Amino acid sequence: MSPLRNGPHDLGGVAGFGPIDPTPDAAPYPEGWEGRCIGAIIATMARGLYNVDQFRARIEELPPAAQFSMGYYRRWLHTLERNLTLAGVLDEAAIDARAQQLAAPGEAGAAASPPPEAEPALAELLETVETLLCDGGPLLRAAPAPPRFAVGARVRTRRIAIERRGEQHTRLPGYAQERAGVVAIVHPPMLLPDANVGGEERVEHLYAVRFAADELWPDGAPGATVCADLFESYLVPEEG
Amino acid sequence: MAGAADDMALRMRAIESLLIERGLISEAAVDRIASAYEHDIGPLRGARVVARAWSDPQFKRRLLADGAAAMAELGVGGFVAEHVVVVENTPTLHNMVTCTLCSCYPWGVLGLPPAWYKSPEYRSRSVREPRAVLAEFGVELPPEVEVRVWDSSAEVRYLVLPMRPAGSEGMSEEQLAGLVTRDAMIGTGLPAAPAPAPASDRAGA
Repeated sequence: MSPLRNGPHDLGGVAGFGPIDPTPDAAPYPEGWEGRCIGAIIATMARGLYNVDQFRARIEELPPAAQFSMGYYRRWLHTLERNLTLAGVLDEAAIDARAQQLAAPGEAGAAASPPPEAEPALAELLETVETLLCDGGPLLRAAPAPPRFAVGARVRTRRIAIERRGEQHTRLPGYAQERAGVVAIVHPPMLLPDANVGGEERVEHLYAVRFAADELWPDGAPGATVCADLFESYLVPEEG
Repeated sequence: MAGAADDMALRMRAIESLLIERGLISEAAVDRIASAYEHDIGPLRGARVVARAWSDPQFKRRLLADGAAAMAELGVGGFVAEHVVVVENTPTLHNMVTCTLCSCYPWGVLGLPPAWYKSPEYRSRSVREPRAVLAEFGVELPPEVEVRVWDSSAEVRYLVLPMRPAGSEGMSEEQLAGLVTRDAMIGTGLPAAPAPAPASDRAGA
């Protein structure tokens, strides 16, 4: 196991996993509720209750056994519930009570309705959702300064240790830490996830950095390469 | 925590109904999103993009220069495909896309990610032993081909432009789109081979 892993989500290169099961999915939403979960997450993020890095961080906080046993959309349900709780709009007790209510005989068909004063905001939400699906979200940001590195620059990645999973967050994969690579693409600047997880909007340049597989792992195949998208503060110039 | 499907469904309904009652979301918004990914947004979008790139060299140039802008010409893109880099397979380079930290995937181009893409097996092994992974998908590449794995570790999304299969000369864009599999656009597969022409056509050629 790599000593650089930042948690059970940081899976790149971890040994011990078996064959991949490429069986096609039976249905988009095999258990029926997954579509509601996707919808509720996109809608609550569109309402600004939390952001994508907070969404990810509260999946990463799950203990290892849960990471592997829960499955993708169960982890999504977890992060939805956690983020809504942290945003102060729901709590576990309220959810438990409502679930009990809904499970009671004769209650299955009871539909919730929004308060009348929420109608303008909900009409706006529907428009926002439409725009998101068609045009996407506001991903690209104005550059704070010219990029520090150009295509072809030799760079070295830093060590970014996550001590408090769920609160801290980075998108520098463990396997790509303290490794030498070459800038392959200078992407448009975007928000730094490490700051965004705490609600701080810091814009940084972003680069696709190419690593030789044998720089990453002792058993890396010669000639094979891995590219990861890394923010400017993850990188220092490689000497020599 | 690994609860049964019924418990998850109930919990989801509880959360949704509370959010609706508190005026934070509407059933209509959730319906719209759930339905879009169930019915409208899927790999056919990406297949249309690839088929156009195979048919139109100018479009291909634009696609490789700015994926999202070129795909927008075909009405493809949107949420989680705001900035797409299209990487081209050649006789000496094979590209493959993964996300080791979670399961980032170009939703706006390919729809929902398949289960295997989200599995710890794929996420861990794709970067370290891509050729072994490709073999499990039935893809064997000549040893001299460089395998390049793109780990989607930020908000950039990647789409593989596979090589146009031999024998597809003269096919229409729509027919070409039928050869483009989802896995070919992730890089774990190759496009389907065109069906051989019927005997009558061959006789006339």
